Amino acid sequence: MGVVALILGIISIVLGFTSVLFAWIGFILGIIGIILGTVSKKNAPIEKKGIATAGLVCSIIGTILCLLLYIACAVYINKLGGLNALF
Amino acid sequence: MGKIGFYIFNHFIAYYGLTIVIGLIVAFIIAFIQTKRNNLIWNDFIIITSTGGLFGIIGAKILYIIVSFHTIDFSKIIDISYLFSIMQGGFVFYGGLIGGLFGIWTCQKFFHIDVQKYIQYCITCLPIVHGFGRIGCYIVGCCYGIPYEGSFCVIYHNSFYAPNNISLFPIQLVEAIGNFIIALFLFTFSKKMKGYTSLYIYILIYAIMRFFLEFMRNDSIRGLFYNISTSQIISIMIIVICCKKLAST
Repeated sequence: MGVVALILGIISIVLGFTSVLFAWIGFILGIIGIILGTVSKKNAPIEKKGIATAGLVCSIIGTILCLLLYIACAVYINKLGGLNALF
Repeated sequence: MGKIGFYIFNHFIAYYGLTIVIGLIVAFIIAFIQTKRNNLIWNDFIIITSTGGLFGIIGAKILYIIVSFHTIDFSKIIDISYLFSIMQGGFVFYGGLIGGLFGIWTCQKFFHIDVQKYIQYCITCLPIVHGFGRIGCYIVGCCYGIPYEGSFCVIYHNSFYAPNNISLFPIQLVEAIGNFIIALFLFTFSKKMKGYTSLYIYILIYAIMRFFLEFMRNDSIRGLFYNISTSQIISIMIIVICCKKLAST
C-alpha cells in the first residue's frame, strides 16, 4: 500500500508541475495517495514505514501543487468556452 | 481584483487554489492542537479528512453538474478540453458537504475509526477552509453579490466571472466572516457539544446563514426555482433535518 501511495504521489507531483488541464486528476490521485500512505503508515511494520512516509509526503506535495492550479470555485468555466479562454 | 491567478517562475498559481491551501494549513494547525489536547490519533484524523475530502469533491462536482445541467453542452462532451474544463472548475458546497459526510461514514465502515470524537473536536476546520475559499471567490470575482453602492462595495475591472465596472455587494467577504465566526463558536464550545451535536449545529447555523445570504447573491447561473436558488432549497431541507436530529439528541 505504501508503494502505491508513493507512485500516486509522484504522479500527482508530475501533473502538478506540468499541466493545468490535468491538475484535477493529480489532485484526486494525491488524495488517494494520502489515504493509502496514512493507512500504510499506521498498519505497516517498522521496516516498511519509510516507504509509507515517503508516499504520504509525495502525495501531500502533489495534492498541494495540483490544488494551486485549480481555477474556480463555482460554475462558469464552460460558459467561457473552456480553459483556453482563460490563458 | 478579478484576475484568476498569477505566475511564479512560469508556473500558474490560481488565487482560489492558493487561498484554499492557506485555509487548509490553518485548519490543520488547529486540528493538530485539538487532537493533541484531546488524545486523538493524528493518523486517523488524516484518514478521515482525506476520505471526506475525496468524496466531498465528488459530491460537489455531481451537484454542480445537476444544477448547471442546462449550461453544459453535452454534444461537446467528447471534446477532451471541454470535458476537462468542466472537471476543472465548478463545485457546489452543499454537494461537497453531503459527499464529505458520506466519505466520513465510509471511513467508519471500512477503516473502523470512531469518527464521533474527531467530528466533535475538529469540525472547526470545515468553516475555516470554507471561509478562506470565499476570500478566494472575492479575489477572482466568482459567487458575486447584487449591485450595491454602499460602504465596502467592490468593483471588478478584469473579472472573468463578475460583471465588470459595476459596484457590487461583497457577499463573498460577508460569508467568509460568517464562516470564521461559526469556526470560533465551534472551537470555543467543542467540549460541551458531545457526539454529532457539533456537526448538526455547524450545518444548521451555516444553512440559516446561507439561506439569507443567497438573497444578496447575483449569480443565478447555479439554478433558480421560483426565485429560490438550489442552495436555498437545500438549506431548508437541511434546517429541517438538523432540527429533528438536534431535538432527538
